[in-house]
Amino acid sequence: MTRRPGHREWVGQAALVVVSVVVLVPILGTVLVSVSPDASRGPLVGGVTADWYAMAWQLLGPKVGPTLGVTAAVLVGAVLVVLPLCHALARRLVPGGAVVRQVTMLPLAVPGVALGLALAASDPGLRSSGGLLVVGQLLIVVPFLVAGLVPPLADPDLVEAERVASTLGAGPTRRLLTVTLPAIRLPLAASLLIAAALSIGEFNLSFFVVPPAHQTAPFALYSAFTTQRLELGAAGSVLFGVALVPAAVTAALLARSSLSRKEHR
Amino acid sequence: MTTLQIPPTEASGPSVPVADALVLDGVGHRYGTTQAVADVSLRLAPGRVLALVGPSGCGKSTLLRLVAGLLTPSSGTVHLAGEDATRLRAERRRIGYVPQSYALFPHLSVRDNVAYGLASQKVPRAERPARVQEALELTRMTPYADRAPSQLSGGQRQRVALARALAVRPRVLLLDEPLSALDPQLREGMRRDLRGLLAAADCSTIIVTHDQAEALALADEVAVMRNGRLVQLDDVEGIWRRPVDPFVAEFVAGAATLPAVVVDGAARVDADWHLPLDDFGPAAPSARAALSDGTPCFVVVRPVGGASLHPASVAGARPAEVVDVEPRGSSWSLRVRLLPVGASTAERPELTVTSTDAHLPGRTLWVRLDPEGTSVHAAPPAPTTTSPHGDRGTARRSPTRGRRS
Repeated sequence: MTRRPGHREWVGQAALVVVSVVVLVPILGTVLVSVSPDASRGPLVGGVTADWYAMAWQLLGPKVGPTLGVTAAVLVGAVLVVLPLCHALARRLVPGGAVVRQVTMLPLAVPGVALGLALAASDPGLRSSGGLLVVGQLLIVVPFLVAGLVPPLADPDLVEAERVASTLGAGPTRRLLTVTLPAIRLPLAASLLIAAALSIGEFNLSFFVVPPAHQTAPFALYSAFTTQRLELGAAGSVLFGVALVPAAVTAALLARSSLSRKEHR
Repeated sequence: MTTLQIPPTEASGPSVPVADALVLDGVGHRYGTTQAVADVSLRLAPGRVLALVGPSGCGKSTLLRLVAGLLTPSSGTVHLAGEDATRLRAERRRIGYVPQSYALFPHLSVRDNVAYGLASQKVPRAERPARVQEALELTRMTPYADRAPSQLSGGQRQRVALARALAVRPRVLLLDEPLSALDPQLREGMRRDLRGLLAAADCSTIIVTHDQAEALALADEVAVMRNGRLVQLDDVEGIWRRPVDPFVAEFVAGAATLPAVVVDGAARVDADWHLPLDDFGPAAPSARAALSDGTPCFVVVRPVGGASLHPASVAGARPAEVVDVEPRGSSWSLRVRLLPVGASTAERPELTVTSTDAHLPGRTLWVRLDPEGTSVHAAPPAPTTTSPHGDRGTARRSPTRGRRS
């Protein structure tokens, strides 16, 4: 005999349907517009075309290199600066760690525009090199890295494993490479993927600190919409989404796999 | 009567016999304002197994971490095989540490777990496989060498953790609650297993446990801690038969204790209850000498052999009310509360008595103490130093034993 869903399950399923509709309808609409010859006459009126995609790629293509370069720099910064910060926060090595942790969350609350303006004002010289863009995007990803990495780094099992490793003669570097990083590889990969996705798509803050030579993909998207052709912007958005969705899905799967491993240990 | 384990440190530094695997001298540790471990001194001879027991929060795990080098003492010194290791980092101490959770490295196979310390300590590559094999064979884990830790049972994980710790040939092996992560049904078998392993390894070992049965079964010597201080350190028989104070008797033997005073060669519990020292007192002359007239003492009544229950009054018996009954298979564990006799205003202590008969709570029975499991000991002297918890400051050995060499 199959069990009938309870009241709470119905509410949960209904919420899932609503959220799915809210997310999927705009995506479906964007796809339809992007393949329509003239969306002002209605979706798919006059057939289907890939021309907008070709034009969108002309705008986006040249930005792929700079975008990936900035993202790579952000990820390097995340590993070299944010990962040690997360370790220090997890192990309570930072005086006033709770306050520091709250401060790292501020970029979630402060508008990107405000952060961008503040950065641009703080060091105009650094702006031309693209360094400010990397610093700005690093600020944007810090809350996500802290949220994703501090809990696994604070895991008592990991702390105990590191202690055992030290009694077995492993110094700090060997412990990091052979115990800590393998233990957090899944949440680390998930966090870095999310950071990469955020960096690739970041526009609000970047708009104020980007030098012309380092304009990233979202700038091309912005240009596409400024042409007043909705179809071109939609095609650019779809291309953008196709590039980012796999990273976001992989990050989610890695995070889930990490949780499931922890439960089975 | 009080006997310190370690003589006070001389101005020229402590005299540390090279033969001792471990010497702690006045070791203390504070967490902020909390004194977790205070003034602990002990020696561990090579190949001996010492159980560190005490209630939760008494500082035993902290002491273990101080020995391992995972914490730095705020006072005192730690010597390992004659070397002053007080400020030595954990990775340089050559200690085998097996935590409660075993902390196997989940991404490494059993073999790689065991080999981890050898690589860390830069043992020549050619030598490592033989050392790993030796540790695996000792722990009977060879058939599981290529498995992942997640594919092992709790007992097997424990053996891998032991193999990993022993592979580096540690100066001291430290086991933190080694059996507590196992199901109760498995513990007895694993206890036997562990005892055999430790004997085969012939490694100086400290086992931290809050389970007195585990301590008595596995160790050559037992150190009892309370509120960060070492209360008594003795061999297994000494700690069982000659507790230095009621806390040790209650914690180690699960015994009940009754305060008493020596009057006319007997321990007087109250006006109508006297236990002759000839029957209940210590046999050793030095211990007996400590029980002179007027001396405060305490009576230890062990749950097995300490008292017998009778349905009617018999000579020397006291009335008691059954408070609680717990089945133990072929016998019953009864908690009985002594009833006042005549005008006695003494407290009404409770005793645990093992009986082959079940009795309902509320029933009145007669309890007679039996010298087989009841003994009288001189009460500890008034404290000379007081810890933040109000405890005595020095560990004592039972009065019939001298200072360890």
